[in-house]
Amino acid sequence: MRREGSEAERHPAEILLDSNIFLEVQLAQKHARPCGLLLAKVRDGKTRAIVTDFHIDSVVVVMENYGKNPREVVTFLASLTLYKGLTIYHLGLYDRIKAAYAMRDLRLDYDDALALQASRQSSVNRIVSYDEHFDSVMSIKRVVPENLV
Amino acid sequence: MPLVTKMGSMRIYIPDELERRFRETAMRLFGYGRGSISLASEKAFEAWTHQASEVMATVESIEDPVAAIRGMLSNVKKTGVELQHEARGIRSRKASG
Repeated sequence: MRREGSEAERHPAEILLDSNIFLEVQLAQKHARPCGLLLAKVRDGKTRAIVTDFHIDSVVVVMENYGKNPREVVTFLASLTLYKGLTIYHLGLYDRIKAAYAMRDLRLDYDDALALQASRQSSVNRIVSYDEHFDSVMSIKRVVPENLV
Repeated sequence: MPLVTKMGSMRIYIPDELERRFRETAMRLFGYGRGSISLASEKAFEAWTHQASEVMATVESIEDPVAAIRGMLSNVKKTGVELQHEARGIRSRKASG
């Protein structure tokens, strides 16, 4: 019997989330509201998104650097399990090698190149980010939360 | 402890590619006979349940994942992109000792 398809098949990931989207919510500045609204859509499964494990760690690195205690780090990490529409992309060695090529060919730094590699592997062509470095990359379109909510 | 474990059944839906890899791995590990998929599924469910239960208390204390992180860095007067770039520097410094 052929099934109709899983939720993931019916709704493949639409966007890749950059670290700064989570950071903007944490900063609670001018971008916090649109970022929060976008994350709420992912939380509710209305938007399907991916984020790499590397970019999650970037948020943790920042939190640690600004003196956040392990309990707050746990809260951030545990909160990610509650997003119905969020998939964590685990970067492997192959991804890192491909990213290194992208660094050379597209003049990206390492974490932008990793994001690009994850988006390619996941067939996602939009990255949600405030980082303008992505604007020079033809294969991916950078969007900001203000355009998605 | 009962000598016979009652076995339940579940119908689940997963992406085709994951199903293919799961079946292939299960059969390579446990053989191509009947029961391999069930055995692999039991191990996968057990591993996930064990992992998830360890963080359950924390997860259950979070009502809204977005609200839970809002303002965590409100004392920092920088943008998200600036912080992200700082993280790169921190990583580089740690890597170079």
